[in-house]
Amino acid sequence: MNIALIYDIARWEERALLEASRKLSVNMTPLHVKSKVFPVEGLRENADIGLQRSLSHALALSSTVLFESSGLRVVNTSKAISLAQDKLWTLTLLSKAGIPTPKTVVAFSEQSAMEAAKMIGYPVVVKPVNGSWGKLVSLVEDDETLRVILEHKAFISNPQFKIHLIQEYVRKPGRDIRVFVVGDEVPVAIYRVSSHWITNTARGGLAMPAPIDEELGNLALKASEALGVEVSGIDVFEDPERGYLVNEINAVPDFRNTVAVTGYDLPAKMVEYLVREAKR
Amino acid sequence: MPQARCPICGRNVQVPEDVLPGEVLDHECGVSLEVVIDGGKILLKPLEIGEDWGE
Ligand SMILES: [Zn+2]
Repeated sequence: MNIALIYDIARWEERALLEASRKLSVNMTPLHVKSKVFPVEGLRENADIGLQRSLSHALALSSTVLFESSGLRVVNTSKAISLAQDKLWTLTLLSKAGIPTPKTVVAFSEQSAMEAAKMIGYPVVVKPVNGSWGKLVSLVEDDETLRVILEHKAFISNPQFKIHLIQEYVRKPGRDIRVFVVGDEVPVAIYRVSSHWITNTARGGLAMPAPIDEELGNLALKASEALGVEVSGIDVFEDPERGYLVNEINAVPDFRNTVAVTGYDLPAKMVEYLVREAKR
Repeated sequence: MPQARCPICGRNVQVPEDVLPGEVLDHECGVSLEVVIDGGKILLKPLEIGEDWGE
């Protein structure tokens, strides 16, 4: 059994995965995508399965496509990764699957974005379709501020940033929930607590263990199924009236804080899943 | 333990024996360094966070 650990930047998470494999007597080979040259027919690696851990969205998707082209099974699949990276695509699939999400409107111009914000009602959250670590996400209180933000965005040449997701601001109780799904299990979850409205731990939010009730567990499984992700971190808001709302799905989730505050051996859980899948 | 020079403060950086290309090392001067292995030689460069990095 050999697992390829596909990565660009090695952080605590990648070290923890290598360590977990060692403890389970499973071979895991680190595969640094930036050190390789890939023919389009793919690179035949001496591996039974791969785990995609690249931090760069572009690298994660392209390298998964290339490994799959050579016949290597990669977790998550390129399809699941591309769906999860695109917040609009994610929300449409969740909504189609009957999963509650924050009210969201999409606008392709500044004028439509202004109109969209009126439809949703201030305050609104404005975000790009493909963002990461909460970058370029703004909480907007009124027309005037929204106009300034849109004008600022007009200077970013990347056409991706001309697509505006305008979302209702969910009055969550100073925290959101990150739920981990591995295969058909929901092993662990954390609260991300912050006085700032972006509770992302990469942005300084504090992590705390969170209980997983039946409803949350089922919702997380249903959400991961809707995108076809196998190993994921699902971001859930708690709305005072509507209950759980699924906001985002991460196909290459950070888990250092989760392991630190829960003590749960998530890396081992992931390795065990990969071994099971490789044997299928 | 192999050593390399910090491109920011110029002091030595302790590099683990099993260091990986792309590994992030935090130096005592406060900078995060990315390991680049070039022809078997270990080089360090300041970690630059990519626009599309992260969850
Ligand atoms: Zn230094």
